[in-house]
Amino acid sequence: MIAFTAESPSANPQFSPVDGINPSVPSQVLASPTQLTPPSRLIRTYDFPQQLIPLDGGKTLLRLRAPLRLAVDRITLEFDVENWGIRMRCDDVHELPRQIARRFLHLFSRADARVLSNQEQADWLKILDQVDYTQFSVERAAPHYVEGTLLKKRPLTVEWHDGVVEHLPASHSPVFFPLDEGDRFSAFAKLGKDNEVYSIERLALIPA
Amino acid sequence: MAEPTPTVSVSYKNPPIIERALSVRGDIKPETFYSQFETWRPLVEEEFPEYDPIKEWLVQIGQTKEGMPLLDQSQPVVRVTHRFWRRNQDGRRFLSIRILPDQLTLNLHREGSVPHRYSELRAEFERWLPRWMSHFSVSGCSRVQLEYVNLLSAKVTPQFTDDKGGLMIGRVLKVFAGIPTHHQGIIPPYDCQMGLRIDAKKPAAFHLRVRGLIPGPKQGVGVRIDFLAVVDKGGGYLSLSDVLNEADFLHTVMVEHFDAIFTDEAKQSFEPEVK
Repeated sequence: MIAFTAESPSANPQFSPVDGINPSVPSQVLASPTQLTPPSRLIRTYDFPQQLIPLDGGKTLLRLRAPLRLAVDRITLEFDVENWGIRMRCDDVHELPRQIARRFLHLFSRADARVLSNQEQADWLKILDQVDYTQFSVERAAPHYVEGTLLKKRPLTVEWHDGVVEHLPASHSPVFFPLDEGDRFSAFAKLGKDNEVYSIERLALIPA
Repeated sequence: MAEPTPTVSVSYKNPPIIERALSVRGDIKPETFYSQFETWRPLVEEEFPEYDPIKEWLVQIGQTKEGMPLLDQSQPVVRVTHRFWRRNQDGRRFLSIRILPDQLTLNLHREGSVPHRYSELRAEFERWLPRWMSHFSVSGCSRVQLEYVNLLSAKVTPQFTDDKGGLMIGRVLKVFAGIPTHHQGIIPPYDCQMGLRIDAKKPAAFHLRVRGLIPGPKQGVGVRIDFLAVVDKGGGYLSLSDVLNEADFLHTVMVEHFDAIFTDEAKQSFEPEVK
């Protein structure tokens, strides 16, 4: 946007001039501001609103439970991502989603191989608290081969090979477009929470 | 309330426009945007190969009853706008496409003495709008916005710069032309803004903002004049063709207000071309 917003935002982060206003000094002070330099005077936190981090070219999304909190050091113009063990230059903030993905996949792989160091173990536990790991596992899982019979198109109802009858969301209907009711089919399905079908693809007819 | 001015088919060979931007806001699910963005990127980079994101560190500032500025209690945020540039044959950036999770914007910049025209921006927008809507499964759009940035400066409008490098703004903008007091000249600051409701049914509005620019070491005084025309349906629905029709409507609003806000002397210097 060019008008009515920041004027041609520069590449460098810009801070409000109000940052430079000194707070009024209380009438009774124990030490001068120069003697006491609390960290809060040097650090300001910002939220990074993107809560969906694409993995696998967007086929899997890492879902954050809350916006990332960036603690910006106003002296070095670098920021730390709280609980992620990531430090970056403010000018590179657009790279943050990629770095989050890298950090997550790095720890995920090491956790999978059971080679996390103590520090990584602590970081990994903090990260797991901040992401929807169940949904990540569902989206990342390899699809299962399934067989069934299409009972009804509306509402979409199938009977799986083990006799279980399930109503599927209408969003899966396009996959079943070529089938008639009563057709037997095979497909590859990803199963989500409680074994419901999360996605279904590569559908084929099984000859009667 | 003033009656609408009849549409006059006048264009200008050399208006002080340095940037034109056309935006649309669409209904896109966040999951769709973030899962599709990585495949959208190479499509854009075929024609806009230079990625240069805009990074904004946004802090809200409020004030006490006494007028003292204070940082707002709401959490500051970082906003990243994905911006891709196209360069001209001389290697200068002149056209960009900008993406936010629910918004597409095309910005067309002046190239030296070439101010470009709305029709050029519209043609690019017409090519990219259906691609964007299809790629991100946009079910409908709610807001269309057209912005023109005008610049009065020694470089763009030398005809209104005096011998000492000062800007004769009272001879350019009608809002500064008729100040009913005795004075020897208009001096900075020039900052002012206003909004006009254009059509309550659409609804459409026009905003004008004038801002004095801080002169750089090699530049003289500059004044930026922003025109913004917008149709905002709120939760309403605009199809692809509706968006283009509204963009054309907003252009007529822009032309009408350009004609009304600049003085006759200024418009004459912009070299009118009556069709």
